[in-house]
Amino acid sequence: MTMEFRTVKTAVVNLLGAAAAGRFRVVGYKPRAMAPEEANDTRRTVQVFYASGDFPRSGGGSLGPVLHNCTLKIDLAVACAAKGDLSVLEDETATAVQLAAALDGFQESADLADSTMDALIDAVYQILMDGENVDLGLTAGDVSNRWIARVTKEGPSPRGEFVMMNGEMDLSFRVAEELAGDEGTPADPTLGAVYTEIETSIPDGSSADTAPAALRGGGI
Amino acid sequence: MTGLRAQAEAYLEQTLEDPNLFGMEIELISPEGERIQVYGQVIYKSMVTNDLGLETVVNKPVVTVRASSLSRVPLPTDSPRWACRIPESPQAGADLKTYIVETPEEGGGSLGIIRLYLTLAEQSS
Repeated sequence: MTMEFRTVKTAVVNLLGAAAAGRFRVVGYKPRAMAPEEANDTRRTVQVFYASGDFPRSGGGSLGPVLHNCTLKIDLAVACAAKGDLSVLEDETATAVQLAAALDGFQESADLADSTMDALIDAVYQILMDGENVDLGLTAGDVSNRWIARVTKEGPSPRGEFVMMNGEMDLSFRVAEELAGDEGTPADPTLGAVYTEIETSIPDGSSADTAPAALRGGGI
Repeated sequence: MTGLRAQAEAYLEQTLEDPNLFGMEIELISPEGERIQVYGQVIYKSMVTNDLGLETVVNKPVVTVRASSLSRVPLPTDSPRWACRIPESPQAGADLKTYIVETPEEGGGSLGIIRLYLTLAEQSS
């Protein structure tokens, strides 16, 4: 049984991935097959991390469900090239006036990165805070107190041929964690096979208990 | 410019511009729309240190041209920016690819070269 915050993290990835509609790419989201024109801009990425959690102590906390106030970090990244009328610059017959006008109309990559990041923040915020997504795509009541408390972005920086910009969004919510206990790790099937081999090779009357303890259990 | 520096600048015709050595065809477009054809050196990949302190190789073309071969030298204060068209790859006959000059920088103080740091240009929709 996995902890609830992991279920919510997966739900947020799926929610953002399903609503992206080609505007950005969600790291870890397995999309359906899409037409190339739907995913024409893959230089905007969103990644979801579990950042922190508080467990307020309560009377029944050691036995029953435990309250978990979680914060997911939504990492946003965009990479932009300068955009303008490239066809004029590549036209050998273009006049000086046309070339100057085309250069003047170019939007610089740093400026573009800033506005692209603003659009990305806008889209992600609206998806996560949409009234329809109050349960973040889970069953009603599984998650409560969903709130985006903070958005930050860092100044543009040149990276290779592009200018990049990074941003972060803190999504907090509350879940109830069940205390199911540690499941341990599954037994190693090769150890079970070794034990069977030892057991069958022991002559009648001998005890299989002489096999090493770790092998008798078939696992850890 | 005197002495060794003047000599080094004179040698740029061979060391930087000779198309039989490292010289590549470069086209600069000034903010006024003037096309300037020169030969110069293009370094396609650069080593950068990322946020984690690791060095990685990225596509970051850096163009070096001889200042005296230009009718007008790009300045950091030029607005709008210059455009620069360089071969897509170092192979002979490669198509020209268009970039915007992010920062022009006078190389080596008075060695007579200009370095151009480029960002990719794309067609707006």
